[in-house]
Amino acid sequence: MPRINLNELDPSFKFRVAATRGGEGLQACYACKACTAACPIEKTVKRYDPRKIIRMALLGMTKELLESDFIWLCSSCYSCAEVCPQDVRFTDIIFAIKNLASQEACAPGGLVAQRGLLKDHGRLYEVSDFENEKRIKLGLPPIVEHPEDYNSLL
Amino acid sequence: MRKQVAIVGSGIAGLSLAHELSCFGIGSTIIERFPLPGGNAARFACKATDSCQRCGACIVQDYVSKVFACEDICLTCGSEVMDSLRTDSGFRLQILERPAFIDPNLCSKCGICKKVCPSPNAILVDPFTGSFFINYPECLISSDMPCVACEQACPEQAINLALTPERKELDVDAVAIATGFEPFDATAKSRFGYGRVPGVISSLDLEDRLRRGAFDHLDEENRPKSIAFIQCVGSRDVKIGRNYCSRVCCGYALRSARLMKFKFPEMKICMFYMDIQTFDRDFENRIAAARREVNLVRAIPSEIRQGLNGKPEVLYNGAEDEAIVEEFDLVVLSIGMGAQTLVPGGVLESLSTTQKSYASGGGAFGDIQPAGAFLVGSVSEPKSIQESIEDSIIVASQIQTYLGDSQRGGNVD
Ligand SMILES: Cc1cc2nc3c(=O)[nH]c(=O)nc-3n(C[C@H](O)[C@H](O)[C@H](O)COP(=O)(O)OP(=O)(O)OC[C@H]3O[C@@H](n4cnc5c(N)ncnc54)[C@H](O)[C@@H]3O)c2cc1C
Ligand code: SF4
Ligand code: SF4
Repeated sequence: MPRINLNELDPSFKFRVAATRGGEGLQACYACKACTAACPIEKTVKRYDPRKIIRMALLGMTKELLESDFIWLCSSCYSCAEVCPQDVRFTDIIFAIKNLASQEACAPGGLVAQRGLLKDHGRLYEVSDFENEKRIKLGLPPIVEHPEDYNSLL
Repeated sequence: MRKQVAIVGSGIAGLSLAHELSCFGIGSTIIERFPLPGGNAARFACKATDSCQRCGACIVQDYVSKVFACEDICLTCGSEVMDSLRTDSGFRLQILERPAFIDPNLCSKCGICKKVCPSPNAILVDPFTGSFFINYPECLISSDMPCVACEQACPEQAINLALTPERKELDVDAVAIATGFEPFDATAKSRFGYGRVPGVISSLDLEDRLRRGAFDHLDEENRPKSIAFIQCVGSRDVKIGRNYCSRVCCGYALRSARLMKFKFPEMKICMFYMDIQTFDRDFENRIAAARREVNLVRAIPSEIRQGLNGKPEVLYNGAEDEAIVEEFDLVVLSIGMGAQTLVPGGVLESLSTTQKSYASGGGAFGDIQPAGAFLVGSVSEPKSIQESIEDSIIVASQIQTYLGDSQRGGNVD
């Protein structure tokens, strides 16, 4: 296990997470490990452990969390939130952490590209003339994109 | 005139308060709803190994004997406060007194009544005398059904269901509410499988089994070889509105675990916890001793389910964070303490606890405690047997002061 250097920790990080939408429950955690036991992702990817992620946030391991690849693995199944006695709502916490990571330009390239597609086309795949011609043949109306609207929604 | 206090509830708090008051020369009437005195703690088993573990279970019986022997105390079991009024000098209570349908002097302890009774919890056994009694709220008569099965079956003619409850009026100078707590209903945490997964029991069920010596009577084959204790079931849980520590569970679970290990050294015992909170000066030594006998696992399981061979399986993450599915022969849920919902009627009703005030440890009265009414024991917040007795000593002197003052004020008698 890598050593943690206390001097390199960021004690304000927990307050940033707690002030981010969804992160409010962070400081209520008792570290009881029920969430970890319930998490299906943790069963296959050992690096991903809800309780440890909470500890990392509380300790202030900002860089290790925001630059990690594992915070993006959550399947948003809410199993952890279901079993937590302290109503920590870990699923929402991991969303808050992901939002902070995005703000610091730490989101993985693939996700950033997906966001671009969403912004421009309102969906993850562009609907081109090829698809619309097919739709017309099937008697369906063509899809017209409204990039302005997607932007305001996002 | 001699001062009289009504004490509602005959748990360890009510009994010890009556005793303390008698030492001050103050008389009391204990109004107990259940047919037997002693409250929750009367169900507990002695946890002594080769030495006393100070669980306090035996103290309750000591106090029951003291109270029976004391002329200043009137103990009425099977009775309830239906209504209550304030009077110039204190309170007037309307009391409903239920008869003992089974005459303990005639009962030969044969148990035929229990066998014929259609309601599973209506006929119970007095753990100390061994005679049978009717637990009225569970008896079909209480829901107006004309059942006489036990009366007809009793070979000693000890049962008379035709006896009717009596209504009485009682004038007292002060009232003490000692209605205690309600044990957490473990079915409310359904993921732990209580009532659904065979082999999952509550700590109160374990107390019953220990007291009956249920494990001693089993041969080695059928005796559980592995036991898991799950802590904080119904405590420290925001989701179910119980964000407080019940104070007694870590202690009683460790004592039960150590007793089992003492009796059956080959037994494997695991205790799943989030923190151990025993509030004890000797904490470090006791934990070190417990660790030698019990596997203390810092993890709360996500689920307890029925395994393929029918036994309970506990899903948790171990010390190395490895996901574990472990089978146990018996799983004991360490249930916590909650607000008592059986409230006395009339003006006293407004004094009774809610789960919210219980959680905040603030007790039942809200901001103002009305003159002449007192709370004692675990009714206001989780307390152990010892703490309930200590509370009684304090409240007895508060009552004495109050009665002395109100006499000087000239509005009594
Ligand atoms: C599983 C478990 C194990 C425990 N083990 C230990 C232990 O080992 N050591 C320890 O110190 N503590 C232990 N405790 C705590 C212990 O049970 C309490 O400290 C003790 O019972 C408190 O006594 P009490 O008199 O305040 O309340 P109770 O024991 O709850 O007594 C209240 C009485 O009031 C009666 N009553 C309620 N409402 C009414 C009404 N409206 N009218 C008339 N009567 C009424 C009830 O029938 C009951 O007899 C344990 C608790 C639990 C849940
Ligand atoms: S279940 Fe809740 S309290 Fe327990 S470790 Fe997870 S987030 Fe913390
Ligand atoms: S919501 Fe995410 S962290 Fe929680 S159990 Fe599901 S996959 Fe695991």
